[in-house]
Amino acid sequence: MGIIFFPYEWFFDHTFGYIFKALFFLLSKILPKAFITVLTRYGSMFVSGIKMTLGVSLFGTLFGLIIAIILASIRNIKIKKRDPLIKKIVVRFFDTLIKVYVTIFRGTPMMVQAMIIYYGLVGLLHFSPGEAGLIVVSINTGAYLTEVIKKGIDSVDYGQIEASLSLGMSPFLTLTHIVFPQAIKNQMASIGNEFVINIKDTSVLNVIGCAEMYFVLKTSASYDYTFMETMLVGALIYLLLTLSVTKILSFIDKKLGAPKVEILSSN
Amino acid sequence: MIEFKNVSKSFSNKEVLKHINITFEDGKVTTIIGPSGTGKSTLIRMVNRLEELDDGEILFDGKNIYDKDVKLVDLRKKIGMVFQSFNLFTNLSVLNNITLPLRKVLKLKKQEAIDIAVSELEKVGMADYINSKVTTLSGGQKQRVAIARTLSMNPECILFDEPTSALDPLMSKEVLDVIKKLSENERTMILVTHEMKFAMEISDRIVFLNEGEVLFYGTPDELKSSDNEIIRKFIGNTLD
Repeated sequence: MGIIFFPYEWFFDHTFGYIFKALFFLLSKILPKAFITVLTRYGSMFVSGIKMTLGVSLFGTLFGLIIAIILASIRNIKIKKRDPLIKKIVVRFFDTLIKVYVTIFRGTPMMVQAMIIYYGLVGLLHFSPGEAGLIVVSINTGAYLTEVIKKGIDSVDYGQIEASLSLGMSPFLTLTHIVFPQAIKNQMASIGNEFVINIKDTSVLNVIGCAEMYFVLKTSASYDYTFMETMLVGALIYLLLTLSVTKILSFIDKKLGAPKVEILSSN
Repeated sequence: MIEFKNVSKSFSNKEVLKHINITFEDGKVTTIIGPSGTGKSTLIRMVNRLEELDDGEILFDGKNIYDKDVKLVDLRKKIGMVFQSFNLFTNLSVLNNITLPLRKVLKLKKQEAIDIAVSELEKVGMADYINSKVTTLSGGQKQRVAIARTLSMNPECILFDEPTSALDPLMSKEVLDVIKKLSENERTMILVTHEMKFAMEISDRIVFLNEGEVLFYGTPDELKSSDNEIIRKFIGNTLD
């Protein structure tokens, strides 16, 4: 993951890494013996799995949001009667292209998308499984959030856009200073939900060998056939991650005055 | 000077403005009146190109505003607009509603923008609310802030699109007092309103639109003495 992940990895190792290690140590003192073996043997692997899961989900959601903002903006370009024919054709072309992208990525499982992107492109672009995982989550999230952001843009009172334009603000300034802040705030719950869903859905990336949480759980369980104990610890970790992220997002939403974030099952 | 030359506009094959020819003179207050749905707002929104015309031309200081070399941003810097539903930016405070366009469009420094905002808010009696959220203001207060925002850009002409129609009589008075004060300056103002008494009081010229056509153009006194039946009926009803 290199350049993108390095500051994140450093931050995680010096903060959450210690917290999770301490938590696993604490759990190994209070849980039954079968769990102690799992936690003491594979605790550090679990921490690295959490790091990958959180990293891919967080950055995937952020990159997906950037993709969605760009694509929703293109979809919101209004064609006027006086616009030149070439502009009308280009806007229609991109609008159709975006609709096709959204339909394909919302209509197919992320696991299949991961297989196609990793095994289809790895020979050409030499992705690591982690990089391929990040790309898959970003593109997948982009498809879901494009519609969310478009709805957010539509929810902004058009009068404010007209007022901004009438003050001499360019369409770009209007988007960046008036429309997007309100659109993102209005859709903060959906964006937060997407992040929480991604924490769970990144588990499908194990099919391309991305060393996220589920991949680590599956690998460590298969060493000494402690599937029940390992997966129970895994479930606890996932629950801990989704609950804490939901709490953090709810706090942010409350500060912004946006609607409440709730845990959704899946995309 | 703003001139409409043979301007027509249709929405879904319904012609709302038919071959309009009017001149809005510099430094004068011109009020557009007429029954609802006669194209008054469409006409005023064409001046800063929030609506595009279908036919004819609109000249601003002799230059067709639809010429390719006319930049919309430059045109709109010169022509400010106050809307019926205020249209304040709800994600920003009162202060930032005013300073944002000053900084981004006129490229003023932060302190210069704040100084202008304070001065314009004082003029409309809203300086005490400078740090308030716009969502906490009453309708009349919102409209006064909207007027301050438009004034802060120091436009050559201000368009008022039914600025009091969303307000109760008390709040309307607050806003009308501000507009009246503004009309005393030598600034071009074009106003769409149903407040007939107010229009008669502050206007230099009145345009009466009926079914997309200019039925009357002249001074308030000339309007009062018009013998056109539609006009007599309209002003008779509204001035009573």
